[in-house]
Parts: sequence; C-alpha cells; structure tokens
Amino acid sequence: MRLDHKITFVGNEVEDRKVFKSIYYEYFDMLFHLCLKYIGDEAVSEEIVQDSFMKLWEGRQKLAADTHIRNILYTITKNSCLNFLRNQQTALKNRQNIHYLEMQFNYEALNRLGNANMEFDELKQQIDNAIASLPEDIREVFLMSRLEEMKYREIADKLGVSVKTVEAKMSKALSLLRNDLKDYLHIVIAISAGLN
Amino acid sequence: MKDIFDRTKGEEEKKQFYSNLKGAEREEYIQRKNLDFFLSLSSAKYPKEKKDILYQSIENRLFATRKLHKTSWKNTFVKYAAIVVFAICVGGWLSQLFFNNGSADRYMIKADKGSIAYTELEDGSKIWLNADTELNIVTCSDGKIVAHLDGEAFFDLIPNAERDFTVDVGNILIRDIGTKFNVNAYSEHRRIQTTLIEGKIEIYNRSGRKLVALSPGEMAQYGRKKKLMRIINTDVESAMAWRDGKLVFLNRTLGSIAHELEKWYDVDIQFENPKLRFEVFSCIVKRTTTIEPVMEMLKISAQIDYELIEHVDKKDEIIIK
Repeated sequence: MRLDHKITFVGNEVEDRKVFKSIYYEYFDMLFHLCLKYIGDEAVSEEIVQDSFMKLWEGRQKLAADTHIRNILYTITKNSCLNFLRNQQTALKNRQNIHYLEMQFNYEALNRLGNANMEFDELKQQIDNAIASLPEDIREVFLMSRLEEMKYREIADKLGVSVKTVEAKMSKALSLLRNDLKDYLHIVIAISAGLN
Repeated sequence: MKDIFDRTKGEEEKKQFYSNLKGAEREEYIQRKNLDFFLSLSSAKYPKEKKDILYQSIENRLFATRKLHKTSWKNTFVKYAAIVVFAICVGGWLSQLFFNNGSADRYMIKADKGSIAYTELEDGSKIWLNADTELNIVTCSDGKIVAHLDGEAFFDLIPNAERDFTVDVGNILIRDIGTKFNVNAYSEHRRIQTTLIEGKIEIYNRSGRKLVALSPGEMAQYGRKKKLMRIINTDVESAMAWRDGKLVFLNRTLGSIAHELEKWYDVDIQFENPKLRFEVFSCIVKRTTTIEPVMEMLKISAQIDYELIEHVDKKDEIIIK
C-alpha cells in the first residue's frame, strides 16, 4: 500500500511537472486539513500549503530516490504551521486574548504531533475500525459532528434530544475512541517526544 | 471535560476554558486536539475548484516567471528577475494627527514600518501610504493644498478644476490635474519615481520651472544627486502592487532592497561581499509574515545565498553572501 505513494521526480522538467501536479492533487487535502485544524484560518492555510508545494518543487533535485514525498510535504507544512503560530504568538501582544491562548495550545499540540506521518495509513484504518465499533447511538452523534460538521445544537434538534445529551454522547465517543486508539496516539506522541 | 471542540462554544466560554487549562486537563486537551485532527483527516475533502485555483497560482509562480522589460541603468550588467506572486494583503493601520498652525491647516498621516495606511480626503479623494511614510498635507488660506511626502504614496484624486494640489518631495514638485499617480520618494533613496496611471500631472523644480508633463503609463525618474530627469515607460501594475500587500522592487540595487526589507521585517542585513550591494534587480514578491520566504525568493532570483541568525536580545541578523 505504502509504496503506491512513492511518486518520484525523474529529472526531466516536462515529466517532473506532471509528477508535481499529481503529487499536488494527491496530498492537498491532507496538508490543507493539517493547516486548517491547527491554524484555523483558511487564507493562511492556503498560503502555507502552496508554499509547501513550491518548496518541494524547488528542492526536488536534492531529494533522495527513495524519499517519501508525503513525509516531506507533511514535515514542511507542519514546520510552517509551527512557525506561523509562533510568530502569531509574538505578534499578539495581549496575552489574555483568546486567540493567543488558543494558538498557544494549538502550537503545543501540533508540536507533539508525529514528525513523520508514516503511521497515517495504518492509523486511518484503525480509526475507521474504532468508529465502526462505537455503539450505534454514539456513532450517529459522532459522525454528525465530525463528518457533517454540525453544531451540537443542530444535532440535538435533528435527533429531538437535549444539547446536554449530545454533549454527553460526544464526550463518550471521544473517550471510547481515545481508549481504542491509545496505542496509536501514544506512538505518534512518543515519536515526537523522542525527536524534540 | 466539556467538549471544547463544539462549534457553538462562545468566545467567553472558550476564554474561560483556555485560561484554566492546566495539568492533566491540559494534557487531555492536547491529546484530544490531535485525536480530533486524525479523526477528521480521513473525511477531509476540499472542493476541486479550490484546489484547481490554488494549483493554477502555484503554476504561475513556479513556471510562468515573467521577465520585466529592460531599462539600462548605469553600464553594469543588470540581472532581472520578476517573480509575480499573488498577494496577501497585510492589514495596514493608520495613525493620524491633527493640528492647526495659524492660517494653514495641517493634516499629518503616517504609515509605520511594516504597515500600509489609507486615508480619504473630504472630497472623497483617496491616498494610500506605503510603509514608513509620512505625509503632511497643508491647506493654505488661499485654498492651495501642498502635500509634503517622505516615503511612497499613491494618490487617487477626484478631478477638481478649483483645487490646486501639489506633492512636494523636496527636490521636485508634482502638480496634480485630476489623476491617479504614485510617488516613491523616500528621503534616503537616491531617486524619486513618479508614475502616472490615469489623467495628467506636471512636474516642477523648486524654482517653479516646469520640467515635464507625464502621460499615463510613464514614469519620471529623478536622480537627487545628478538632478537629472528621465522618462521611461513602465508597468503600471507593478508601480501600484505595494497597495495589494506586495513588495515591489523595480530596477533596485540589492543594497536598497535590503534597506527596505530591514524596514519591513525589523532585521539587520549585512553584506559579506559589499559589491553585491550594487547589483540591480527587479522583483515583486508577496509580503509574508516572516522574512524567510522573501529571502528564499531573492535567493533564487538574485542568485545570492544568505544566513539568518536569530537573536533574542536584539534584531535578527541576515548575512547575504
């Protein structure tokens, strides 16, 4: 599976541009999502993702033949996000500002996210399994919130239950998932702890 | 722990939450944040349209590098590289001071280092100020308006035959006759560049002699030392690109580019090889939050190498090699 993701530049500019384009479409979603989750600003995220691809293109000749493109892109993007968050923290003089607080935690969380995302495929599989094994009613709420991006209030209205119930179910879902996935999350966190 | 990831949480609630995040709760939040990212990763799909647009913009930047037309400046070998990059608009801010001075009305606008300022005059005329620019507008009792400029400004003036509007940049005076024009006249620069976008302007020397009348698309370049005026056709878009948050360098020496970057990013730039200061380049780069992307652009377009040294107690240092 993983080998399928190995797209390599061949050194011929015309061919490489095609390779570049396919890499772009392959990894855009993942990288943009990474930025958006931790930075929260679409325009900034777009900039960072574009820059990541441009950096990849500019450095393509220096890549070793067996380089995992996805890992490189992930690392470049993660670092740019960290830089951005750090600079924002410096720029936000008012430390009581909610964005300052949020960014501080986002920075810390992102900093501890794995430095190589080799486990992504495996992790994704595990996540899908874990979600599938959630109790029916809890899974329903969870999917509405995460996949359909509905607000708790909207979910409550749709299901005819109270917001408190939705909150409780989400909390349950997250703790079940965290328990199911703790080995994987542990790996991801341990890797970064070892490297930082 | 309440689920802070609920999208309905209000600002105040969030603030409460983040302020009290400590110890085990803090740990849990961070793990949840990352879990949340992983959980939503598999469903992350963004519209193809958005991807296409962003890809096009990457292609433009990487593959469609456009060369600006040449103008010979001195007899040195001149390297040109134009990198046209889409802008991110840097939110500028404006500081205004009002004060009266006898018979004349004074109005001072200032754009600090690293920001762009914008103001509107009473009649709806618009003025943009580039970073580190000061504009003193003096309205004399006889109705004449003189704008003393140190820096760079773009004027979009409502045509008015009754009004006499002049920009004073020290060596020369630029008289407006209902126009859009850009004046680049930082006192530390050797040249004053006046670019006419629309309408008509006339340029006078201090003794009141008319030097030239510009037509749209022309740039008057005045050397402060040699007191020589040259008219060249120019790319109007480039002259105004700074308003869109781009850094614009047209036929500028690396030394003066470095000077401007120092202003924008509050860094110290040193040249290992002093000769590099006199190399001339043209480039347009997006203005970013940090100087690194800009230096990367320069590295490629100007074929220089650089080293960034971060300091805690003083300005960061950049050494150009």
